[in-house]
This record gives sequence, C-alpha cells and structure tokens, in this order.
Amino acid sequence: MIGRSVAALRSVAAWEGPTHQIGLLRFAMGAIVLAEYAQRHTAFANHDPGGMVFGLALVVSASLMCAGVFTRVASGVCALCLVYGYHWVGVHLGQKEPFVHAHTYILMASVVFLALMPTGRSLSVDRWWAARGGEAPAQWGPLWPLALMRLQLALVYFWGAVDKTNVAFLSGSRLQQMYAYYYGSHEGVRLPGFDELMVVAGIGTVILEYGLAFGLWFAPARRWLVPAGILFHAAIYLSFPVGTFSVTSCVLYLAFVRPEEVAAGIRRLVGREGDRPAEAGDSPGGGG
Amino acid sequence: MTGPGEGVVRLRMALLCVLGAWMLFGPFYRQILDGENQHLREFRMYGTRAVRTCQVFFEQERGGEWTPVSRWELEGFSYHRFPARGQRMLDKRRDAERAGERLCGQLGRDAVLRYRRRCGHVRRGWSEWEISDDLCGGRR
Repeated sequence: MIGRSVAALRSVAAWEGPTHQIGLLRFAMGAIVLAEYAQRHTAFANHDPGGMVFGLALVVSASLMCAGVFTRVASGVCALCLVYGYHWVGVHLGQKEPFVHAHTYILMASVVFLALMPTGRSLSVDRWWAARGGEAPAQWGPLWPLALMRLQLALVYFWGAVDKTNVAFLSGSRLQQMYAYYYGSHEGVRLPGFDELMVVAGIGTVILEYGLAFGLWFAPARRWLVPAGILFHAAIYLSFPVGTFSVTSCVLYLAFVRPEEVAAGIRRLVGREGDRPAEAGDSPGGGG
Repeated sequence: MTGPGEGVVRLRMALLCVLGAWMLFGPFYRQILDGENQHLREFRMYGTRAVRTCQVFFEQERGGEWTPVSRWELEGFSYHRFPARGQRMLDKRRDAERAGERLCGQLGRDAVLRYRRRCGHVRRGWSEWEISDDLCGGRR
C-alpha cells in the first residue's frame, strides 16, 4: 500500500509532457489577475510608496506573464505578489480587501503552481523571440504542479459541497434567502414556483459539486461534468457577485485535460500554412 | 528527452507532499475543527452573505379570515425602481413592526393586521413561524 503510494507520487513528480497547456493556463491566469487586481493597484489608487511598488510589481508581472515576456521571472514575481498580498497584507495585517477571499486564494494558488512550471516554452513572446534566433526550446517540460492545480479545484468543490450538506441548503431555504437578499424583499422572490425551484437548485448544486470533486479525475465523466460545471458557474456569475471565481474555475478545467490532447488540439486549431487555398495570394500588408 | 534526476524527483515529491498536505489540511482545520487561523483556507461560499435574512408576510383579518397583504404592492415597490436593501428587507422584529404600523395607516382605521415572520439560519434553515399581535391596535 505504502509502496504503491510512493510509486504513484514518484510518477507524478517525474511527470513531463507538452507545455502548450500551461501556456494557455498562464495566459488565462495572467488575464484574470489583471481583471481582479489591476484597477485597484494603479498608482492613483495607491498613494503610499509601498503600495505603489507592490501594485506596479503585480500589474507589470501579470501583464508580462499574460504575454509570455520574461515568463519564468514574471510568473515568479506575480506568484510572490499574490502570496504577499493574501498572507501578509490580507491575513497578517488584517487588510482583507481585496485579497482574502476564496476566489483570490484559488487564483493565488494557481499562479504559484504555474510559476513552478516552464510556462514560457509555448504560446509566448519568449518562444517567438527564441524561434527567430533559431533557438526555440522544446515544448516539453515538467508538469507535476498540474496535479496540484487539479487537486486544488477538486478540494474547492468538495469542501464547498461539505459546507452545503445541511438542512438549510438542501431544503432550498439558503438559496431563497440569498435570492431574496439580492433580488427580492422580505416577501421572497415574487415568481410562481420559485421556492420549489430553489429546492431543486439546492439539491442539484450539492450533487454537482460532489460530482465535480470526484468525477473531474475521470475522462468519461469529464465529458458531462465540464459542460455542466461551466453552466453552473455561468449561473452563479450572473446571479451573485462572485468576482473572478467563475472564470478561474472554468479555466482550471483545462488542467484536467491530458497535456498531449491539448497540444494536439492546438495543432488542429492552428493548422499549417499548407491549409491555405491554392488561389490565395499574398496578404495585402505582407511585404518583406 | 532525458528525464529529471533522482534528486530533482525527490525534491518534487517533497513539495507535492507539503503543498498537498497544506491544501488538504486547511479546509479540514477551518470547517471541521472550527480553527480560526486564516492563513489556512476554508471554502464556505456565501457563508457570510444574506445571513439572518427574514421572511415577513403581512395578513389582514377580513370577515374572520386572514388574507395576505403585500407590502411590496402597497408601498409601490417595483423592479424598475428597485428599493434599497434597508427598505425591502425586514430582518429585525422592530423593522417588521414599524413597516406594519405604516401599512395600518394605508389600510384604514379599523384594519386588523399581523405579520408571520421566520428567519433563516445558515445551517438549520428557516425557523418556526412567529405570529405578531395586531399591529394596528395602537392606532385605535
């Protein structure tokens, strides 16, 4: 039993594969970090010198990470900024906004795991520069932190479901309260059948979250769970102020796909130059 | 393509164990053991929003029967002019009583009005219904 566990751990630690997937994840997470924090960390929003330096480091590193410029350094700096913001500014100094939330924690963890991988080897300006110099590195590298990204998302669903496994949520009353708070009044939400719908939504949410926590690990279940999860997150995003939680969770579904499938999918999507129709001429602006 | 060296694999194994344990232990510590160290993360979505929200329904006695009275309609609330939360929610008993007294003024001097009220709990759901005395009694 212990021997098999160690062998499984070793195989995850030695896991290497195509880096296209982490290129996509890097791009998306960089954009989400900017969406979450950029506006609040511009110079005019932070007048103390420390805040300005922190904001500049966060915004610049996330932008570079997104574009794939000096990617390893940018990813590392961005991860450090997020850890500093969450644990030092948010928890230690008690300035919880905007750092200490479930969705910002998931974002921080994802960027930390990305920073442990060679995120610039695919779909990056770094690669483009290296290719122009004839030295593009192989799009291959260690992927073991992907396992942690998967585990993080599964745990979010699992513990979210555990927290909802109670009379309040399963009877629909918790959702009735939340919808009344945002959309209704002390009379509830004035739609026929609404209370019954909340019972179904309450039970359905808990079943789906347990399903996502365990089912995302299995490819046949993923075929159904990923679309269901995306619809679920879209519904939450449209209904309640959840910030970047929905989009971060949906992007993390990509971490569950086999890297080889992602690389093959990108090759299929991009095609080759030979895909051009024979009658196509040169592009109008394509002079040498 | 050569694989990573033994030392690198061992380092990664150690990192996987430490980070994995951190991720697994955090929610267990916060949600099961009720720990309060916020460096460890809990995943209670909306555990702190819309808590202690109460449902309040007003009822008027007409011919020996209690019939519903909608404050939403009587106060002229609408989704085009969506009222502020403090106006549309009556989460404290005193707020419900005050809103009832205002309704009494609109319903006429002889109206007999009461409320049925229940409040939500994050884990236990709705409480039992609580029924008020005549809210218009003080006006007669």
